[in-house]
Amino acid sequence: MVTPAQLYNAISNTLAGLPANLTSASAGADLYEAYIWSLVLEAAHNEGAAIEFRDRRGNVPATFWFRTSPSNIFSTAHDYCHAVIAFPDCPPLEAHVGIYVAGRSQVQHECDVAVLYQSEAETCRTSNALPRSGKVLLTVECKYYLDSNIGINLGRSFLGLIHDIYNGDRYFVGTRESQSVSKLLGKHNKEFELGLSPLEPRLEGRLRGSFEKTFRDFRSSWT
Amino acid sequence: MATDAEASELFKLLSENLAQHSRPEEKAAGFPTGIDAEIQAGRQVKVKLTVPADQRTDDALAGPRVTQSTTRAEFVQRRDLTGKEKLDILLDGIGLARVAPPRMASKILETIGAISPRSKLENVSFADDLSSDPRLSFGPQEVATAVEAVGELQRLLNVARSELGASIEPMSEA
Repeated sequence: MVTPAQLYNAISNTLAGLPANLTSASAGADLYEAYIWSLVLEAAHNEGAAIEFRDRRGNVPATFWFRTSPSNIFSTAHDYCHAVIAFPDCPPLEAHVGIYVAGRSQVQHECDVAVLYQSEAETCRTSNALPRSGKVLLTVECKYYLDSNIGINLGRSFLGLIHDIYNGDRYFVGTRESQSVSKLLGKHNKEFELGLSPLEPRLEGRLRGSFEKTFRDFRSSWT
Repeated sequence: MATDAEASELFKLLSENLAQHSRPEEKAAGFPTGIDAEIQAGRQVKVKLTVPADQRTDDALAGPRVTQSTTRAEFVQRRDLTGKEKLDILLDGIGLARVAPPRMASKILETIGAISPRSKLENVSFADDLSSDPRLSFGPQEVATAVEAVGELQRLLNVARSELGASIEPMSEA
């Protein structure tokens, strides 16, 4: 039996020795979006897609640039990158982190993770235009919270968002459980996963499975 | 089985430590103050309470009158968290703040390498439109070092959870 004092000493000594980089403060929310993006890619791969990485000019990147703040798909501030997802006999898709899309109201919305048709993405990159939500197959709203403040307002905002970008599969994902958001989204039959992080592999597998269904349905609609 | 007092003792020690030693940028991101606020808010539970229920009765001869009775109704009640519940929330917070970020970085690199083995990716950077410099960059070596460093913390958090916490389900280890 370990005493509280012994545990405290061991934990506090370990905390003090951790490297400063890659912590919640330095990059938690940014890493969380890219982590969810990686689950989307795994799902596509599991469903038989070939995946390649490209920068905005179509080159194979040596450094993969993710967005930390949402920006336009045509932004030239950095060589932002994306994944190209190619299923046999289907139009190719692109998976992005942190881009704006236009809702049916023509208002721009931020998508933390978005999978859209490559033809739409290329048109928008060359024409400085926002992708139309109808051409976005899958979006994920990602909330990296250390406490359970994923409040009801975020759930309501998400319902409003998916009303405006109504086509395709829309997911709400967060690091902490929230009874009110679970009830709200469950009642409206919306896709969500709360309490998700790499520390919860069961939830990770369930969300990946949901993404796989999205890609399965996409494949079926074209073959 | 540890007592609630022992869980409270560890919770108090860790809370004080984090309040004093969390990094300035972590404090700005709400760690650990957000966790404190969650604990202060307590837990909402549904309870059945007996409440007075006055009823108006219209009597044709005696006129209207009020009859008093009671009824059982469901309320949402706030209650304080136990020491074990507080400790669980704090351990979850530490795990998400310190263990999860290197594990997420590792997952990103692993996925990129596994699903597109021919990619030449050597580094990952995060940036926004307003700044020319990346906000964060890392490569495989740095991530491997960070994951190794948080492995021991994760093991200790699992021990604390299984010895003192309310739940016995440990975090998965890398």
